Amino acid sequence: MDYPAVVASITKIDRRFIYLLVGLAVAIPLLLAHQAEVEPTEESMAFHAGVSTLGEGDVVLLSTDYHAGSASELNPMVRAFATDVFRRGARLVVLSLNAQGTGLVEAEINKIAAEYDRTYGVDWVFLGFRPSTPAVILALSASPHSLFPQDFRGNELAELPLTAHLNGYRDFSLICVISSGATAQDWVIYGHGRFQCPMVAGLSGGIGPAFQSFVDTHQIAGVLVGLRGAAEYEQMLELPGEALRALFAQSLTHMLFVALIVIGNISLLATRWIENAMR
Amino acid sequence: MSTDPSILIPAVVTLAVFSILYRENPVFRAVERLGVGLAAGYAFILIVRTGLIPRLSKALGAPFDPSSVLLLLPLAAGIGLVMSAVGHRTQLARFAVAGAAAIGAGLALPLLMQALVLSQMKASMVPMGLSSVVGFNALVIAICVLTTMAYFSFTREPTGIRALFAISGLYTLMIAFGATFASLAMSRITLLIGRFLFLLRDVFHLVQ
Repeated sequence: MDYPAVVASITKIDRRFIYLLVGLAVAIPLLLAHQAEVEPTEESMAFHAGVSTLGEGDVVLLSTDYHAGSASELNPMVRAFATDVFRRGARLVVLSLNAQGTGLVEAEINKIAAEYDRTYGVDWVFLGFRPSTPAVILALSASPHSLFPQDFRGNELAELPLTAHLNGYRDFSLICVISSGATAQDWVIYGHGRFQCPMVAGLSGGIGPAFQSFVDTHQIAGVLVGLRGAAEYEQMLELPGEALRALFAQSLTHMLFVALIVIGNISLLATRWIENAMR
Repeated sequence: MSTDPSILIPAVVTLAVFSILYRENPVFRAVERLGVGLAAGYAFILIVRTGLIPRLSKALGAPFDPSSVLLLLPLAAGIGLVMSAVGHRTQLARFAVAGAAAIGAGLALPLLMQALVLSQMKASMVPMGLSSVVGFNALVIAICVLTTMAYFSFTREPTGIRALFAISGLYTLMIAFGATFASLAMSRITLLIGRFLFLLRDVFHLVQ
């Protein structure tokens, strides 16, 4: 066998073949509908513990600051969080600091509210979107009415039972930020930093590691990171959903990535070794 | 297979985006521009409909409210910035930028120091040692901070022990970047799973 040619051919595999492998690694577990089981991390358990402090009638502010590109990993978090809040009898004020978030979130929460027989305006309200994150966070400390005279559906905030008497952060028992970008850090700096609001966060995988330091300093009580964080939360709530279902596909794809990296490196080193030996 | 247009249109767009995996093509370029344009257009309409128009109607509409006149100031600043963006530089734009920068800096600096520097320093000040996990973590953090700072110290050419420190700092950075990159890759795979789930479940009804 011509070993040098075989080794060299491995380093020159068509990238489309790798895309095909990744596609199969994603599609096959989804078709098998295998439900993964996960061991919750300390950060996810702290997130759950933060929500567990809520009682009947408490008001929670949920800021959904993400775009369509992060919906796959953050929508399951929003669904699980809204379910958790409604199960505890707490009430939800939702806003979005990303314009696309408005289109992604309202329908999801509306569906869950209907499932738990929650009434719009009494048990939950969707404020909508405002630009400039720090300005919005600071302005909300006084009263949401100045910044959002009307909700996203055009109702006067002063006329809705849930929001009529809201006066800034002191009326919120918890703030939850579900974010795919820098807004989560803005909430830490301007929300927690200035007003000491109790905060939990759900973050996309790309920004998750950067927020570990805020958990260590207790600036954020608990954090869910990426699809795995969402899956852990679903498992803690005994609410199997999209995240738990997708986790097996993600694990298999990761294993494929590791295998490809190992094969690629071995073949590269082997090519160099053969080249040196033949000189 | 679904016949609902609200499912079929995103399905066709998803497949058009996936076509880039085979090779560059005009269909991909068209949906790429469609995506960017839709996102920008949606944000623009949202800001105008829910922010600008209700506030303008409050400032300019009857009955006259003197406190609403203040809302005309940010409107004027905004017009100045737009004029500047289209090539007509005005003093108004300078005032708008200066005002935004000054207010931003004034608000941000003390809070940034508190949230990103002082809180982190306070949390790092724990006894270091090998007898507990917290102490060991503190030791690792201290070593990583010092070695990374050594890597970015350009006053003199690093030699001997300083070179060892600098190289250790480089490895610290690589580990940190590697963790972030791996997490980002995980995030991107989740997006792919989301699209596959949409195609298999909502479009082709192959899974429940």
